[in-house]
Amino acid sequence: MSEAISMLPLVLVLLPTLGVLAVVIAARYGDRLRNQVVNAVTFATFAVACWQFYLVQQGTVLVYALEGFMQFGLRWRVDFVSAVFSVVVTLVWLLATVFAKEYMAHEHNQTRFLAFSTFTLGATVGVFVAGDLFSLFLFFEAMTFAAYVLVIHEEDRESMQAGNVYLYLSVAGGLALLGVIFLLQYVLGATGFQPALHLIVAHGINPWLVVAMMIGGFGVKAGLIPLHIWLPKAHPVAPAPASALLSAIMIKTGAYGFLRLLFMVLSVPDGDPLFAFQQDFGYLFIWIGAITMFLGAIMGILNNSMKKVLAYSSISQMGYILFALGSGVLLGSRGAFGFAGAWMHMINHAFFKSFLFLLAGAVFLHTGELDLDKLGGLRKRMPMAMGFFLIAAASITGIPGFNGYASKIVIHEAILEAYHLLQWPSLLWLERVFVVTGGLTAAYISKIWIKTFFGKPKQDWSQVKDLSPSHVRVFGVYTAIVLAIGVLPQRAVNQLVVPAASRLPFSQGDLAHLGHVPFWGSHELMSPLTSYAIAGAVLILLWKFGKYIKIPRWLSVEYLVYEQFYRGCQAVIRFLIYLGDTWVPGRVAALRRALGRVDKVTQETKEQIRRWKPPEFEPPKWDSSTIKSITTADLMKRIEVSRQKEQERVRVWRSKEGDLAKRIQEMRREWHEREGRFGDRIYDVVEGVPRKKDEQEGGSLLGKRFREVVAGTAKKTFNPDWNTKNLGFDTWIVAIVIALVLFIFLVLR
Amino acid sequence: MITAHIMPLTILLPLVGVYLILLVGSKYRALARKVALLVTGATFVMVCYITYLVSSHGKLFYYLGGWAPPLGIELQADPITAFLLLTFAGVGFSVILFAYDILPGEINPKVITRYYALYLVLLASLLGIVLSNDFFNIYVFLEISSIAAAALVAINGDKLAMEASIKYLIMSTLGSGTVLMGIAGLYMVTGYLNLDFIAGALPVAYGHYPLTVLMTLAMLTVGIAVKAALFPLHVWLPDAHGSAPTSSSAILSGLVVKVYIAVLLKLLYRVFPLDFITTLPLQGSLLVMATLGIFIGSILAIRQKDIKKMLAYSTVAQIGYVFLGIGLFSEKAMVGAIMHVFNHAVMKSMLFLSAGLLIKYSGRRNIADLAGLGRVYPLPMIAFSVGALSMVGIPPLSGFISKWYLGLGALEANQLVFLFVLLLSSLLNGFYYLPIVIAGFFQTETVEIQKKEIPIGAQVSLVILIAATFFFGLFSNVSVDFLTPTVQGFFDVLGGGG
Repeated sequence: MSEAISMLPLVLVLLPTLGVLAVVIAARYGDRLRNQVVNAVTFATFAVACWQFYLVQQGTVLVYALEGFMQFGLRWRVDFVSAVFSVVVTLVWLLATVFAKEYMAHEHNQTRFLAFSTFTLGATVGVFVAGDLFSLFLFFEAMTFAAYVLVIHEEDRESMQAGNVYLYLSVAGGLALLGVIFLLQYVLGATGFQPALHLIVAHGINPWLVVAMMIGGFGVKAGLIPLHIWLPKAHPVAPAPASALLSAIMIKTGAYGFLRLLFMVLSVPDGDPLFAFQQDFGYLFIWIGAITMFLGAIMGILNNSMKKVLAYSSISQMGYILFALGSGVLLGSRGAFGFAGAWMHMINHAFFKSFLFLLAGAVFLHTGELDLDKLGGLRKRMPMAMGFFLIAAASITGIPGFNGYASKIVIHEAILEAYHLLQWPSLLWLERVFVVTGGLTAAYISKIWIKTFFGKPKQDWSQVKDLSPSHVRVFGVYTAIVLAIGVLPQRAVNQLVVPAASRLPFSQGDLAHLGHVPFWGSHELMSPLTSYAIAGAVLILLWKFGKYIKIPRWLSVEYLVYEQFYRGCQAVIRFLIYLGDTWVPGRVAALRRALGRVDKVTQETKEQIRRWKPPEFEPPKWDSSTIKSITTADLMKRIEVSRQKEQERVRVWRSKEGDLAKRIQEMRREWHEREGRFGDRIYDVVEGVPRKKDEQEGGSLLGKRFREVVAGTAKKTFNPDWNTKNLGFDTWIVAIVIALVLFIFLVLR
Repeated sequence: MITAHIMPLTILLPLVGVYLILLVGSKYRALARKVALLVTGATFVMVCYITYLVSSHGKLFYYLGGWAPPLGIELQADPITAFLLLTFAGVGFSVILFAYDILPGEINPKVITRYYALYLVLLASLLGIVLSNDFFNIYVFLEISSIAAAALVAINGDKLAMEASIKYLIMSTLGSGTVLMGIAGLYMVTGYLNLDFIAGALPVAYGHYPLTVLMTLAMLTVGIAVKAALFPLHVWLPDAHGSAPTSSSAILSGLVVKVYIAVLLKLLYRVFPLDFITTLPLQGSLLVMATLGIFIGSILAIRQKDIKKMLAYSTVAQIGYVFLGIGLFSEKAMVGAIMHVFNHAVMKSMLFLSAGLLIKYSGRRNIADLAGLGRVYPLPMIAFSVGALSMVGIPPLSGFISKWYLGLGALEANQLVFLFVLLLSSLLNGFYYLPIVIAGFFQTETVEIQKKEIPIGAQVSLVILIAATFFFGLFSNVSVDFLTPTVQGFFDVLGGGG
């Protein structure tokens, strides 16, 4: 395998990116010119991808690097996997764009849609030809943001909500991916796709951390449960061509990322001491894949809108891919079938899923309905659509002769081989899950087919036309591809899969085995029968008991996990803000008031004492004649009288003193009763209500306030707008921090 | 002649501009803004020349009046200083360009002359802080910048701005006072005011007076933290930046808050030896406060309804990033911190200026009311979107680069947890920026808006800032290669690696 520097990958990405300008300029001159330019740009990109594939098929790996771009350089590296999928991406994009011409003819904001669609093409194809993880990340983010505009195209409430979930979840995923890039850069010094597991462990970083962040990063895009919640919202609300692209291609970027990281970065040879890690990673992915495929299929069966069922179907099929990836990683060098199954299913699913979504779009275009309960009996008016749908349904179900069959057989072989080699009982059960899910897949796709085209028409379909010639052409191309891969699966495997697998360190025996997959073995040919048997059973159950199945609103990952987490965060934040802005200043004020109360009693007492006047004392008046004529008895009488008056005065004084003392005692008692007890006072300060009063009302006031705050019904004293008031309080904060820092520095050294 | 004295002239030119404006502008109001534009443009050119000299000749020294330190006043320029000067002069020029036609609509026309005068005073003081190499000079310019900034907040005389300005002034003075005590302490134990001489005398001084030296460091750090709005000392920032006129907010959030960080950098990396600082609990305190600031700033920003206040809280969070970079004490983290100073100056100014335009032309300040404005006024909304995406850290915009270096710095310093802080806070940033971008472009207008022509000055300044964001993202190697040798020098000389 030789490397050659070629500008072809750069052209592949730049062509659509700059083509956006051409589209926008052409739009000024009319819709027709714009549509032609879009078609031309998309076709040119497809042509470049084909040429690139031709070069790569001969054994070279095309590389290109733009050094000096953002300091790390932007790298392209097109090996076999990248080349094949570039062709797939551009082909599907071309078909969807041709389809879109008629579909979007009556939509608003067509130029915006087409322009962003073309830009997304450039970014998406860039993900697949990126040479290192950093470049991949760049294109990944560009793709996310550009596709956002496609998702919210309708701009109604549902679309905007779906767009929000999509955007925030994707941004979170992108940041998780950035974490992986940081770690790789730190460990490797670069972010290329080279084995790094040893270095990661050598630096003391837990490999599971890397895997967790990788699952978060690529898992959101891949729609693995429980990161899938954006998918059933976003894919249905986007216009059909965009849904086709989202489901067929964009979610593959997630799988592609897993492929690269698991098989090229985090893999080690079989005998390596760290091989146990790789086995654990693989096993984890098998489980994730199994859960995703099963739950996705169940949700697909239980839903009633065509696009939503197809969206859950995408989730389920991604589960297949991850399931296969896991098997491949688990087996190490014997994992060729797992890799082959995953890769092949990525290709096949891209084709038949876009086929299905475009068909759904055609039905919507002609009937205006997507709800399966309102559709029915269309077979007379849209026979061609019915025929094409049958072909696509046969693909996804895995009927021999159609492309889905090929990849399903390979995946089945992979899990069987895993069980055969490792003999873990769980693997057998997982294989059974795989088979049952195949049945469920047949069930939900048959449900769509039957409910759309058969049965009594629920509405008047007399005006409905069948597919237009251009749409028939598009679907014809799809049929050709599906049949080509389906009728000659071994050839497809040899051409598309084996060259990719042979670059990875798989055992020669397995690679040879890949050249002789028992596609037409009797055991394998029976598997679609199993699927349809299960499907039949499920559909009958659904028909009989479907009315009674009501999925409770709370039974969704979104409600159980995301919404609770969100509510929890909100409650914590509200409570913290309540503490900081209302509770603490309130308690400070209450403390001041309480201290003020004590002060007031003292003041009152002092005031009382001050105001008390001694009783009036009138000295008796004696003139000189009275003095001369006074007798002893008289004097004694006067002394007695004055003594009595004195006693009277003393009595009065004592009683007044006693009054005062009594008053002080009274006040003291009052004070003690109200606020004397230390605990009471503190309670008052802390809670803001005297303890006795509060106990009457029952329960801690703080607890009640906590509940109010969490529920959002507490009086909103926090005004987030302007709080220029708290100057004193804020200045105290500064002083406290200064003191704290000094303390830390000088004392706690 | 000019080139020999380029450094003091860079500080002097805006001051001369102040006098010119006050002389001329009182009579001929229209001339004030022209003078301001010319002066800031010339200052930028001079700063570019200083950068060129630094990159070709290395560190520049200048002794005022020919008097050598330690008695004379010294001005120094090294690559980091030059980079910061470019930030201040460049953004300062862009904001004046923006305000050229917008200002008469925002503030009382009678005070416009004063506004430009204060602006140039502020610019001169910022340049002075960065260029000065002795503490006394730094302190003088520090005080000038505080007063000028507070005046710029209250210039329009409305109640809210006055209150906010008083709060700003008081807390800023608290900070300055603390810084002054720190400087006094340093002078007392070392006998010098010049940074290099203090650095030389410090080990001896520490031997004699360990507690004083520690107290000094503490006081200086806290004082600077108050002025730089590090959590929990940021309380003055949201009101001040939220209620000020647009150009004031832009320069306050973008430049004034950062210049104190420049002082802190000088302090921590040139005055105090690195091996000494790492023995102190300084690193822990800075990192904790920075992390809290990042999260609480972001969370409070999410809760805001007024767009300017939201941007102010966002500044609190971004200052947290810069302190995170400083506190990690590793090469890449410091590069990231300095890059973030520059990137944030550009991004935040762009955000404030475009928000100001949106407020002006729609008459509404609430985020919920800005729906659909992107269709009527695409340029401010695009500028806002570019700024928002850059803040979240989307490549290839410049905000990604500073976060990249901060993240690598966290790994270099063996503190993996701060990598997660960085990633999680980027997500939080998205929560409050992206809704505005989405609402601006993709939602329908709630009220009928008429399209008015945006003045050419405002458009050009926004385009310049957008271009800067893209340029320093795509070609970040220009700035990083410029800064790295000096940063490495800090870590090599002092203790053999960070």
